[in-house]
Amino acid sequence: MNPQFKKGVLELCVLSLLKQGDKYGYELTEAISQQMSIAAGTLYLVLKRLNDEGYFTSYLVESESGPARKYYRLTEIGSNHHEALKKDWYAFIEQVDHLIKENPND
Amino acid sequence: MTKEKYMNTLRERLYQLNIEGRDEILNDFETHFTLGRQNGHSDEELMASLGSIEEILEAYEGIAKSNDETIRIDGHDQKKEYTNKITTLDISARHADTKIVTSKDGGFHVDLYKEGKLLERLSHTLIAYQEVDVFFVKVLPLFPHKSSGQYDLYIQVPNDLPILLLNTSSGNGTLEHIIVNEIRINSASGDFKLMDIKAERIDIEVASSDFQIRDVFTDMHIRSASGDFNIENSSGKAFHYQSASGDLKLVGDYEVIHIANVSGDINTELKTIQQMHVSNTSGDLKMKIENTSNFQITASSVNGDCEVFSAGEALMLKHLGTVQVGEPKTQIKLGTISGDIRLDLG
Repeated sequence: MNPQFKKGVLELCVLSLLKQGDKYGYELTEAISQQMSIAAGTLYLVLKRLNDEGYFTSYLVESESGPARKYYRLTEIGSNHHEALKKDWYAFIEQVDHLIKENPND
Repeated sequence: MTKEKYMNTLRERLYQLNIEGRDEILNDFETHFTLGRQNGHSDEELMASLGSIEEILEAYEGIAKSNDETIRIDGHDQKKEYTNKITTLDISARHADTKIVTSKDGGFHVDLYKEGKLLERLSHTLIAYQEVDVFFVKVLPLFPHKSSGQYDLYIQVPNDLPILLLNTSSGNGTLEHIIVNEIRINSASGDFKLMDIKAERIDIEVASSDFQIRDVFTDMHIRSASGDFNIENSSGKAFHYQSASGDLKLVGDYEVIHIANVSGDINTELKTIQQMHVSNTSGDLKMKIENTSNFQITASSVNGDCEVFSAGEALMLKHLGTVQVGEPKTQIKLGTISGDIRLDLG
């Protein structure tokens, strides 16, 4: 997949996954990797930035079998941002679709 | 490469590039290895899944740049510290409505709402950043056309802000309970409410904006085309007003008043005055001044009526004339072409 597409949608993917429920970093990288190949390293940076901007809160859950896991939870602002990005995304797809379908060869 | 070499290289590069929050980032990576190993992955697989260090740093630089553009100066945000104190707040709101109040914690807070919902840093719509001593807030269109919807800016400022610049095209503005040295408002068609404002000077340059101004203590310089101004309980040293067709109602107390109007009506009620020049072309002038003793009044009207009363007694009832009582401490010049003038003293 075109890396440019991926950069733009990583934020939207993370927000969508967190909308479904709190998740910890590694869990998110695994979930997204199932759909597309990403560099997990860049994902951790995106998570940090979105967290700093107030879109998530985070909390630690102790684990007997390993290190404490940092869970991310979507805030109301994050949820609003998610809605706005989703709207943008669908509008964007519609616009591109329109242009693609204009091609008589399709 | 071994995991140790990978992490050491990453650590070194993060320190070299002076990237903020590096311990947090390194921790996330360590956890990734631990959990990945638990899931049965080899270190090679995990390093491949994380990506090359150069790729990661490249992505980080992109993120760091966009962070700088969208920083929010916030009483709670201790990570970014600005050495310059902010002297100027420069707001370009375009079609967003802006409300400015005093912050409780002395900091700057900028919040952007879309259709009533709080969006804090939709970075391609709101840009807020500090450059030297100026803090810029800009609302950009999300898409360069209709779909944007109604945005509202809510800005809290410290109570010792030197300069506030507010620029809108159709966005309305509300300024409430603030103390600023200088306020400059530029707008095409936004309407404004100014309530409880202390300032040295307010400059307003607008086209068709209407203003409701109440409880303000400041000098005012107003240039307007067709907006109406309703000003109550205001006082200062100087009031300068220039308009084409807007109406003006001014209730307050000033030392010097200059009004130039073309076709709007002017209605003023003042406590005291030292010098007042009013010229109007076709609108009417109606003035009431509570305390005036020792004055000189020159009034002229080409086609309209001209009446000056003092404590109910008619002093002058003609087109052109000068009335003087005692030493002329107060100078009043009133002129109109085709409107009527009525001045009531005491």
